[in-house]
Amino acid sequence: MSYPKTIREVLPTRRDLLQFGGLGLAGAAAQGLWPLRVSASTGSKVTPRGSARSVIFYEISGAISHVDCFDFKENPDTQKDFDVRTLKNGVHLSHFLFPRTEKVMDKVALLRSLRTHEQVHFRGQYYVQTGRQMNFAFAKEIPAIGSVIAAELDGRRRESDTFPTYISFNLEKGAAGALATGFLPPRFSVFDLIPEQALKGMALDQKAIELVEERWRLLDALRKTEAGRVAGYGIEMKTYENFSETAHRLISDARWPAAFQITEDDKKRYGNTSVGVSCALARNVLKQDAGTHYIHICHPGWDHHGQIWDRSASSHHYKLIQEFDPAFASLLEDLAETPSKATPGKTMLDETLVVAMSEFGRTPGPLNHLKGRDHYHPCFPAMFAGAGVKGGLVLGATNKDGTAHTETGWNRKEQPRIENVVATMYSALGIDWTKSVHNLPSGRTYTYVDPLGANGFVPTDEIGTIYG
Amino acid sequence: MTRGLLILGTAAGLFAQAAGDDTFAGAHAPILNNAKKPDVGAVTDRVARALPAAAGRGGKIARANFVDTHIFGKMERDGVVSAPLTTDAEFFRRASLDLTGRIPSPAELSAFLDDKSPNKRARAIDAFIETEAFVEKWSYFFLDQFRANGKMGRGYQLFHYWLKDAIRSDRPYDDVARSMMNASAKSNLVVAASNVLVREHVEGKPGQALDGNDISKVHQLDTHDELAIQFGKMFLGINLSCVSCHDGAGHLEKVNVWLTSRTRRDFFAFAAFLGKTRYIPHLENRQAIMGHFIVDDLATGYDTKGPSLLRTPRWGGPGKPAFILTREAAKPTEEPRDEMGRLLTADPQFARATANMFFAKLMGRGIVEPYDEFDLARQDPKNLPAGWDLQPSHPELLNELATDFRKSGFKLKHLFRTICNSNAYQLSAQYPGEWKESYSPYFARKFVRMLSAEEVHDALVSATGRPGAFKYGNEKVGMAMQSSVPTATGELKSFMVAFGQSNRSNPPRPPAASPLQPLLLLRSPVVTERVLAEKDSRVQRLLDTYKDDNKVVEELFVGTLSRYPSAGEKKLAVDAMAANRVEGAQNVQWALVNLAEFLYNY
Repeated sequence: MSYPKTIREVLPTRRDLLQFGGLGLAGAAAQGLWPLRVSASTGSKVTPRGSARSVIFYEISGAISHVDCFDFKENPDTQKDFDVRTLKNGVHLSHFLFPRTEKVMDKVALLRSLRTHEQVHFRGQYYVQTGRQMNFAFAKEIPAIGSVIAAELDGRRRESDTFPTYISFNLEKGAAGALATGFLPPRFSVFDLIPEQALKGMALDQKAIELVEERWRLLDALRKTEAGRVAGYGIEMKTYENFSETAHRLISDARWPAAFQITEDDKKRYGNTSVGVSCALARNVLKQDAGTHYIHICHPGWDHHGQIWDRSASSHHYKLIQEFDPAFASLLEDLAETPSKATPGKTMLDETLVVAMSEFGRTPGPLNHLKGRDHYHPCFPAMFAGAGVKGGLVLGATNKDGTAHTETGWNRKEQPRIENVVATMYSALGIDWTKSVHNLPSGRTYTYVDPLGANGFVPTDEIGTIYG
Repeated sequence: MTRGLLILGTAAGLFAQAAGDDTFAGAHAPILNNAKKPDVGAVTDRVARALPAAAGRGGKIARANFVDTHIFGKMERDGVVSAPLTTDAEFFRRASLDLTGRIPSPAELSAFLDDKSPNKRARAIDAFIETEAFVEKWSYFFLDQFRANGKMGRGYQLFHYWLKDAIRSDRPYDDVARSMMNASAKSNLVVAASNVLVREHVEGKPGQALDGNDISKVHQLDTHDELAIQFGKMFLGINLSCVSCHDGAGHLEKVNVWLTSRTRRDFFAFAAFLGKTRYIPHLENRQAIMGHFIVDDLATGYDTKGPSLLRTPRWGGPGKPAFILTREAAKPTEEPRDEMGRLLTADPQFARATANMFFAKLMGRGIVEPYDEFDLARQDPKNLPAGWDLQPSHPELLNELATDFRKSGFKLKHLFRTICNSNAYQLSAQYPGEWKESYSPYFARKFVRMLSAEEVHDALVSATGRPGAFKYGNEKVGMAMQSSVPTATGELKSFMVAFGQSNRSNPPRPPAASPLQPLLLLRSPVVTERVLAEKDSRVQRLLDTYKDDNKVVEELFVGTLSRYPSAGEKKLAVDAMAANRVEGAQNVQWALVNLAEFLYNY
């Protein structure tokens, strides 16, 4: 493998810019980076599953306490009001905290033995969004997972698709923010939406639509008169104008404002909270089937180092769980009940992989001196549903107090990690996750799933056991 | 006809700089430089497009200073054609944005275009540099670089004030750098420079109150390391993050030759200048108050046995400070951080990295690019490692810029004037013939770039006359670049983030086009409110002042795009106002801020 050392070596020729499995890299010169001569390769022996048309990733951001919630362990500080019940599959879950989620757990495969090494939010959430460890040395080049998916699925976009492939809600409220496209072209970037604003801003009434159209006609005419001169300034401004066309097509597509209307009933069922609205909108967007295939919902605020079960605190787990429970449950219910547009006889849940997890767990055992829980990386859970996942499965196990795993939950002796969750999502979408992209501006190679997890090699398999 | 154009072309090529004198070009300068009369604009456009063919090779453009000697010299030697010089309108908008972060006002622009005196461009540069907006823009730049945010607590306000003072008074930059490295304070709310140190503080194990009673238990190696990386990046243009975790050898052979020669112990030794420093949070009810610290040299040196959250285990025991570039040891009789400041600012790389960084900011790319990834083993054309290219595109220029900067007393204003007064800076983005990426390192044309989020916002304010609502300390201010930290919420936040505003925590994103941006420009209230004829907006004032729609349109163009409309554009816009004056004018204002031209620095 030779790395570019001279300016000449990094210059692209049209021949060199490959279209590899839909990874459109033409025009990939990002501002401030060298023009790329990238190539992609795979030594692959894997067969991506392809059971999902879309993925929803629900990030329980800031970290939910696993021993009080989805990997329940009795401890000296278990709250008296929890009313923990045992579900059909043996899972213990607080009925008081999760009355609605309790009812959809038959759709969920619960994996209790994930592991990470990050203990800091920014790094942990970065990990979750990019599938790899934060490294300032090449952070500029690293795309968010959603952008990689957008690039991979670009080849599948239909003429009629106007929605962006990668949408997120409230990512900017998370510690890592909405990460950029790295070495990928900017057109694969995320549309990060603030749900409350999206409701107001994206839904257009007839009058507003007409005004945009009238203004657009003037704008278009002005552009055409000066097209020659503006073209002389170079490709950047032309690229922007292309995006402007894309935005106009999106906003003129009746499906887009329609996706941003929710009913009073939706607000009641999902909860009229930021994450509740996010989940309802995620359902709507996927239902329109207009090009979106990866949605990252960020639910921030779970970082309760103090007063975790203290209702007098300004924020506490009771409050966040009250937001989570109706939102998550309604989302699964609605996906399960909505017929698929693309495949008759199937439901949206049959074609959508839903993943819900935090970036790490919280310290088990008694609460800390501030009556909270701190970060915990050796074991924490994740939930999977849809796209062929076998509902009700319980995978992996932890010991009596939730401090260490006892079973890994899949057919390897190492615990699965975020990398494997990423591989699972790529596989579900039919993407070969063993692919790598070479000759990035730093000279390095970008692997879709990074085998060099911190402190050693990690297996890059998908977590196949969730499918039963 | 062809002959006529050729004469104009040649004259303009030879005398492009001498607008306003008694030569043929001078007498025709108003026409050649796209002055007021809009019906002349069309002619000028055709002339401007013909000019490049006549301007010929780089040698035809005058060399204004040593920057030009190197840049045009290299183009000539290698047979690369340069773009022509900018028109006056292009120059004025560009320099205004580059130096002050703002688009010019119509009055300023007209005055400049009407000005027939010699050296008007140099005087415009001087004038921009002496504005308060210049101070605001460049202090905001440093706030971004040092990632000022809530982690400094309220100290960011003081830090901002201090930066503005330094820039306004053109304080020697080496002095500014040293004061950041050696700051000590009982409170970062009182000593401005200490906020740089406080910002990089890495918490210890979560949930444990820092043991303020026994300083010997507190090590803070992670913080020392982060600061060493920050100073390396900011003041030396080198990326030490790799060697903060492992030796260069065995890792960086294909990435950076110089860093391959550095070990992790070298890095520890550099971080050891900070080894005695402790960043102790003030406490309230046993909880650390965010962003309020004591910073002082309170303890023993860099002890690799200390605990760490962010890095693989260290080894080697207490380290003695040594400067990473030269391995020169700190004088044991001096304060280690004073020594760090002395050694660092005395090294030639300090001037080189600084000159290169601002060159990159003004020219769109550095002589060494990216400006924080120097490979110090590849700077000397006579001394290159086998198989490697020279890193700087113009090594002699970089040397001369650095020397000139140092000799000026490390004055930033002098550096800016040197760069902006060169004709290389003033080249057009319009390139004659086919552009090849291989021409980039020649600076053969202006590198067009998107405005930053703050610049877009502030340009919207200037264009529409509708200020924003930010805070600077306890004052209300209208421009984003006047505020200290990003505080936007709601719609404004979505808008700013889409254009790449950093929250100063995540890895920085260069402003790049994305599909979300035009979506917001089409519909966001940040735009749609401002284009309305109300609340003393420009649209409202123009409609009230002028009965003639032509005048309204002209001023909307000048106020938004800093140029006059072409005949075709004018007709379209005036027609748009025919049915309903008010709505039409609003639509024109909306269309103008949606044009790519508005969003780009060309």
